[in-house]
Amino acid sequence: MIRVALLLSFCIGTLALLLAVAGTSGFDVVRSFFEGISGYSLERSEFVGYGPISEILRRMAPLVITGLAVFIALQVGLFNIGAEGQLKVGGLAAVFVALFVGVDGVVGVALAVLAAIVAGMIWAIPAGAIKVWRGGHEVITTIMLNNVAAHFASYLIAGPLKKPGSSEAASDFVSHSMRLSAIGDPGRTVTLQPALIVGVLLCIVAAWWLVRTPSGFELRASGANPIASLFAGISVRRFAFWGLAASGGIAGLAGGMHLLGQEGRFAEGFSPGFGFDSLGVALLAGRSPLGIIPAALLFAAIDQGSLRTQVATGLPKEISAVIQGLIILIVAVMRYRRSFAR
Amino acid sequence: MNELLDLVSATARLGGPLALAAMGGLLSERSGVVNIALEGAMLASACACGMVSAATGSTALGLFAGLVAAVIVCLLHALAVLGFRIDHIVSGIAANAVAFGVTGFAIKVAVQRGAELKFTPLPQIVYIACALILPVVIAFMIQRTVFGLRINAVGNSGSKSAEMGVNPIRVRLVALFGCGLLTGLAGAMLVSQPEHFTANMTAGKGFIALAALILGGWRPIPAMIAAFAFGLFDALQIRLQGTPMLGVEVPSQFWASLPYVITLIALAGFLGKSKPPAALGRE
Repeated sequence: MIRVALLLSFCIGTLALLLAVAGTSGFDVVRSFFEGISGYSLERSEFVGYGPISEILRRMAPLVITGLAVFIALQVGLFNIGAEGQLKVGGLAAVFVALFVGVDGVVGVALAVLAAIVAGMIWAIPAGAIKVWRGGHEVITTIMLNNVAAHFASYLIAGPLKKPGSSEAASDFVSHSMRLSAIGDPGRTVTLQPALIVGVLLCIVAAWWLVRTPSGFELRASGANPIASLFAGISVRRFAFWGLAASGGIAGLAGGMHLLGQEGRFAEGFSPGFGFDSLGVALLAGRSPLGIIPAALLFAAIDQGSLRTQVATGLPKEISAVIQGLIILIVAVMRYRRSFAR
Repeated sequence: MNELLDLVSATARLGGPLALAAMGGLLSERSGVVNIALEGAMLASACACGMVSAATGSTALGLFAGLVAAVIVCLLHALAVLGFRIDHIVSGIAANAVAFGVTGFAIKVAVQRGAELKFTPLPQIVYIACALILPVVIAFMIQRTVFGLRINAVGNSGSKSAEMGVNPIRVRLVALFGCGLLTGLAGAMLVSQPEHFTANMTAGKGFIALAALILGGWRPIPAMIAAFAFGLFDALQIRLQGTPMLGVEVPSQFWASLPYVITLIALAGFLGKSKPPAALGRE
């Protein structure tokens, strides 16, 4: 407990120091942060609109799905730092199907999403294979695969996937019949991304599967205690391999949904680091996939609040990365002591 | 001839920070501490070095600030891992996030205030010499000195070392302090080329240094060679942009991703099996 208290004071000290350096008043920062995430104006004492809440839910959508991807890998005892790359190839696969396969509507969406899942899996499989059969650490292999994915994406959008006649390195927009646009009326209600609904449903299914089914139990057991699991007749290697592959597939799905739902095309900066943010989300989630939902909400709210605070007070929005890093540290000290040591 | 010289100097310039950071990683990992915080330490050093140099006009003071910043990041990682006993990767992720945030924050505040960012760095050749000589020194230290052997010992088994009267915590702390100095040099070298700090200027170089370390089998000289090989590929990638090879136009991104693919192949054990320190990440 004293450790947590020590750490908390360190964190508060860091943030206070940053505020002092920037020379903005703490009161202004807290007020604009609150206004930025709630849509409630303190000055006028009235609710201004659902815009900020919709914006948080929009940011949350890819984080929930990618967070679940990282979470599944953590369950088999692996760190999937490669979610970023898997998400990118997922987006690339989806945009490829949407632009070049020539099917539209529901069938087109289904095909594009399927392609995204498969692409994400393919991008995770080398890391799983090297881990299981050759013992190479998954953190390094997935980081390497991230870099390859980034270069691959920049090659494709500057070359084969580039919109003809455009000077910008970006793909063309996918047709309107394949866009998964937000549900709700932006003026009057909260808008919801289809990806968020999919993500929440997946988390619920995963929570049920991990706790209530034999295969889910075996998967958790193989990560929690590999040696005991081996003696119990569980194929730890198989779960490690397929756990990471499934994780890649889910990250790919996040990329595909993000493309069809929000971006509409693949351009430079397709992912502003969802794969890395989702590491924090998954660590924060705790034991159940249901924890991913509030964790992603928190991270999205911090991002949104920092952005609004930057606009209102000039305090750099990079403070969100500091807050998120410190949250990971505090949660790790409180909950994750040695639990992932292999 | 001129082009060759150009390539050699570009390789030294691009590979140097990787070699220095890889040496930092080597000290840390040979003592048993997984350190993906190399990235954050380098970034912190580049930021502190660049901004303090520019603010004070003193190159020496800037370099000192860079070293201090990287040492702080590495010691925080040490505190989290050795003191709080949290997972090494989790601590590294948190350290990288905080370093990314704080440096991005600092540069934005400096730009808002219109602060001078340009500075006069030490000559590149000083850093390049460090990147070439320090691996030899570290190789000697690891193999021939008492302290080097202690690092090896605690990296293989902390508990057995403790029984032999070597305090693993103390050895690891010193190793991480050394790691901070080396990544600090790496960050200072990185910022000395554009002569001013830009947000997230390491852009994954710390992870590449880690890959060089692993490619070199956690040995100093091979890790240095791997780091400079990565530097060569980086230099080639810029120069070979759009030049056809064997009649086929090879995209520059192919050259850029080649080092990562080679690292993957090496990790798959096809370039000779390398063995990590036995206690790496376990204690």
